[in-house]
Amino acid sequence: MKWLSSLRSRIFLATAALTVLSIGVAIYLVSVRVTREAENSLQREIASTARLVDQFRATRTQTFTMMARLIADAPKLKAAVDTNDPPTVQDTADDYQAQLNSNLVLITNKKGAVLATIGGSPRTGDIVASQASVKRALMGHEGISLLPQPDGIMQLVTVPISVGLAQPDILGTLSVGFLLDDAFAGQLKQLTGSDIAFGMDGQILSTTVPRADRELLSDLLSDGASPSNVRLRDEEFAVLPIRLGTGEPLPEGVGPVALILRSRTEQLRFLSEIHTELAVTAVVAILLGTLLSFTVARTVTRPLAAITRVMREVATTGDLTRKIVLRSNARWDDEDAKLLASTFNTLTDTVARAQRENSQRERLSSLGRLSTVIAHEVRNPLMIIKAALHTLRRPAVAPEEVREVATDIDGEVARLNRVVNDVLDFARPITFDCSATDLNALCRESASAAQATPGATVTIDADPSVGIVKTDGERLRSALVNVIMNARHAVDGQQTQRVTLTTRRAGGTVIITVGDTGLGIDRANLPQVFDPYFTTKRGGTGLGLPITRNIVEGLGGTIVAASEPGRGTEIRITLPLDSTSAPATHSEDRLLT
Amino acid sequence: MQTWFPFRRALLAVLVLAAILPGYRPVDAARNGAIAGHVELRRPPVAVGRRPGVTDLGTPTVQPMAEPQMSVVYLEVAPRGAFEQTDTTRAIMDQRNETFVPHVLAITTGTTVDFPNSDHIYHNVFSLSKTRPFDLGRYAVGRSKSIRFDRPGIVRVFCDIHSHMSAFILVFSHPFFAVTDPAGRYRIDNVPPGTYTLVAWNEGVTSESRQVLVSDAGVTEADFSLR
Repeated sequence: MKWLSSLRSRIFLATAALTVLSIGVAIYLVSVRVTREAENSLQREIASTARLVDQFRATRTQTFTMMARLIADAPKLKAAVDTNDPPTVQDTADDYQAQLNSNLVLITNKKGAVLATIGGSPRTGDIVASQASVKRALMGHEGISLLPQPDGIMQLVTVPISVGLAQPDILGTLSVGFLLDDAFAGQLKQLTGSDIAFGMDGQILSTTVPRADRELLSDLLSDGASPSNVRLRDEEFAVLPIRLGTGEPLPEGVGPVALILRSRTEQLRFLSEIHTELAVTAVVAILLGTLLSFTVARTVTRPLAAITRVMREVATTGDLTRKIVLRSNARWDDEDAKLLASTFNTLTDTVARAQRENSQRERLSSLGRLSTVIAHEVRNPLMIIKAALHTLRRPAVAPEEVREVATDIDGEVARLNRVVNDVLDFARPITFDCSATDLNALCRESASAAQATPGATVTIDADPSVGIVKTDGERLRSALVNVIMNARHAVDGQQTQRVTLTTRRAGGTVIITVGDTGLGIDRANLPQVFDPYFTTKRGGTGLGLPITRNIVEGLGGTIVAASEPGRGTEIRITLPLDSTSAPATHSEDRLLT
Repeated sequence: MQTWFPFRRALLAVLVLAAILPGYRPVDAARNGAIAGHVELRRPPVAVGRRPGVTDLGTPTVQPMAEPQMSVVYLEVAPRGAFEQTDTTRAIMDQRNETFVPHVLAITTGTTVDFPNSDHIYHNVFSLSKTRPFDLGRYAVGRSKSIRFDRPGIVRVFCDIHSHMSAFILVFSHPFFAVTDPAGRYRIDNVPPGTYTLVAWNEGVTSESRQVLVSDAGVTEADFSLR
């Protein structure tokens, strides 16, 4: 995961993940809470409707009970019932019914036989008379009974008609009934806003919902008192069945039940609105959070990026004058990054100053050494030239002598020229011109060029697998000549005078080794052999090996010296097979910068 | 026809059949016997929820008196000549403490019953009974109204001001009846010897009729149990 290794990515990812997580959790919790609250409020409304229905029914029952008691207590009714004469009772009952405005009035005698009926279906009288509540009333107790009627549930209040205080004599019973019909349900709906249905024995008898939906609702009547759901006309309703009590225990599933229906659709609409709003909020918040995370990550890493860029430039160009410039108005940028940037700027300043001072010192010392070498190298020829001129000034100089002096002067001028050339060679930037070169052939040429002067013979051990190398043959030859001449000088005057040149191929490189059996180099001097102006030879400029190293390194190779005093020295040059891609080094850096 | 209770039918039968029964001799007190006995009431007491009464409207509380319930024992079929009594008599049904006193009054036909108001409030006496429907209207304390009962039967009277007040007037066409004392005992005197059908009545409930043999100057025991 390379992407994750970036600080910016990690900060961004962590912040964004945190944002998404916290917003997600918050939205989820809110959503869950809102949903639960909505459901709770629906259940509360249903429960409150159920209470209202119960209360309303209880109030009405109470009213009718009061009225029934009052009527049953009327002496006229008692006297009429005592006659046991239906027409007499009917007359009296008609009067009361007119005032009661009830759906049913029923009077029985003390044996429970019907004396008068007003309202209800033709068979109602007999059905009512057989009710337990009538029998209870004959025992002196009031009772409530619920009867199914075609247009609703008839709620009956039955009271005894009795006379006497100490030993009451029960003359008969009076039942007053009112219908829990569509109109009653409608009244309740106006009060509560919930739909109501009354049913009994698995059949819906009155309701506020359309007639067509009754079938669906009747299935819910036997469900006991557990809340459920029903779908009517593409609308979802929460349903709570409540049993309508009469004070008498009834077998489960057959008793009168009121169904309270509350539409969920409104609730769902409200919920879906809330959910949509929450979702939009979440998306916006996450987008903003992500953007913010990105910005925060950038404020930390932008200065770092700027610092890195400048550092890289400094590293590649070596230009210490480059500075890290942070935006002046970036007050949101990281303080640590700013500190880092300013520290880096100070560091480069210090390094640049130290480098300047160092190069100044080096220049001065180089100049001093060069001056000494040049003065020394130039004075000797000058002295010889001066002596030659002195000879020429003598009168009657023999022509042979003039020729000899001219030759001397010529030689010394050549030497002076060589000194100047060496200095220039070392100081001038080297440009390479690479081409395919047969390295072994080049080595032989170099060896024969170096053997132009008398001295030791060079033994060549060429590896044929070296073959053609892409390099600057001219420069390499001068470097090799220099090394071979040094080796021949080293063996000059020694007992064994052997100089060897070996070429070897090693992987993608070629190794050229020049060995001698000379005096060797002192251990103390060995590290300095490639330094400019270091020389142990009289008449040497100390620039031969430095120039050689410049060339070899310019061709992308390396040069090392190994030596054992008294036994000999070995110079090993390692070169790439193709030097065109090698970076060119500028030798003048060592001298002039 | 449920409108006629069995005991009423029986009573009517007394009145009709008695007139045509053969073998009746003029009453001879010296040879006549008596029927005595006890009527036991086994009816469970009925408790009815207390209703708001006139007493709740600020008047002093009337403690309902747990009066012993009087029963009436009578001959279902009376001996001939029993109906020849024509002397007009009077009886009194008082109204005291929002109660008719006595609660059960047994009279012979032709009796005029006075309903004096001995209470401290207005009262009314009315009946919707087939035997003798009447309404004496409301009248003040100290006044009395009366009504004569010429047909045998049972008349239940009410007060249209006080819903808890009621009383029974049993009108017989013969004198062979007796109202029990508080202990439930009764005694019908001066019954000519013979076999009779005896019936006990209490608050609209009649017992099974039973045959009794009345001998000369003897007391025949007959106990009843009413549910």
